[in-house]
Amino acid sequence: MKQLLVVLGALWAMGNLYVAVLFISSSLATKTADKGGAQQALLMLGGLLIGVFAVILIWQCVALARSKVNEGEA
Amino acid sequence: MNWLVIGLGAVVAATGIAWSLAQANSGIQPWDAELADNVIFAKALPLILGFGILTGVARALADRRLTERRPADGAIRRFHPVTVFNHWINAVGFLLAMVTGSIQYLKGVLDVAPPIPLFWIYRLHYLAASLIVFAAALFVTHRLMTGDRRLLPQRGQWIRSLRGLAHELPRPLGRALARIMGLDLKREPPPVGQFTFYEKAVSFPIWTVLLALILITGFLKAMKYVVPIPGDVLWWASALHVAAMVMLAARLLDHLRYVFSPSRWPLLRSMFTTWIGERYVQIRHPDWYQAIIAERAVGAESSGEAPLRPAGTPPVTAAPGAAE
Repeated sequence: MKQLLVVLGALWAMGNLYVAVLFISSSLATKTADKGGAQQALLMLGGLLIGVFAVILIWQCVALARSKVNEGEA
Repeated sequence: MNWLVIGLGAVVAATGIAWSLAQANSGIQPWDAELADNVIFAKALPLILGFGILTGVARALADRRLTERRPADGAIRRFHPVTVFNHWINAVGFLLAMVTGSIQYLKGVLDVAPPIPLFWIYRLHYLAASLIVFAAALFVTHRLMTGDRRLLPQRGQWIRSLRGLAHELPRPLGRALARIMGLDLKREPPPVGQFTFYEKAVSFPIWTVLLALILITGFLKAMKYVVPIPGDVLWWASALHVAAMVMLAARLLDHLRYVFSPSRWPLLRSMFTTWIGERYVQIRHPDWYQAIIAERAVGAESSGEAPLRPAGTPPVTAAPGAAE
């Protein structure tokens, strides 16, 4: 059960990391720049927010995978 | 009786939704697939909401007063089975809504075609939203009826909870919080109850605000084809809906980060099994453990048995819905 949760959590985090990269790259695109600085800043901020939390979750997944939790514990 | 009420509610809701589907598919409506789905969803929302409220009422009326113990190993029921069921209904709806919502948003931002026809993305998004609306209605109704506030700091206890939170956070963050709020970290940390201070002071309040925001703005967006809504209101609803989605994405990642901590493995497991080991509760949730012992003592006294509580523990009245 632990390994399954770790894999699912890591996959979710990596998916979010991909979304974060899309947010940040599109915040720098010309199309967004035409819409104004506020739009660029919001996309950048959203991307950074999601990206940071995604990286922390990946790190936590690694910690859980390495740990020796008692899976049978109630 | 409760199952009968829930069953009747399910039949009424399903009949109403089937009626909306029949109307949309009658061939006399000029809508395309995307608009038809939106209208069906808008008409189904009151029924889904009503069914959730009804289920919440039944759940509140069926609440047990004592925390359950498993005779085989003394494990303690941390979550009521309906709470676990509702949590996972909400989780499935939430994950589906996040994925489909992100595809809609990224399509707009990046101008990239979605992997499947757009009306399917919307259809899945409405299905996901329906699950979240049901789960939220059930949860809120149950909380309002029972007055259960265990997932929030008790009234007048915010400073105490923040002090507990400062002790739970990593040291630099805890110190920063203590400095900002003027908390004394030299004092003993308050004992942890059924839920940690992080869950009560950070996690649950943020979930509540963000979910309320995304549900209200989503409701306004869904209703635009059924009732006239001013353009400005719709613009703000759309902007806040997206902002809430981004913040919820971060909130979910943090929630997973928190429950995936190896030291909290029994807490995570209890969201699947509903049970948690007695020893873990005794060590990590001492305030809750004392309350359970006191609750048992009250039960034993009222039934004429010898009280079980340790010396010095005052008897307390059992809270409604003891197994959350």
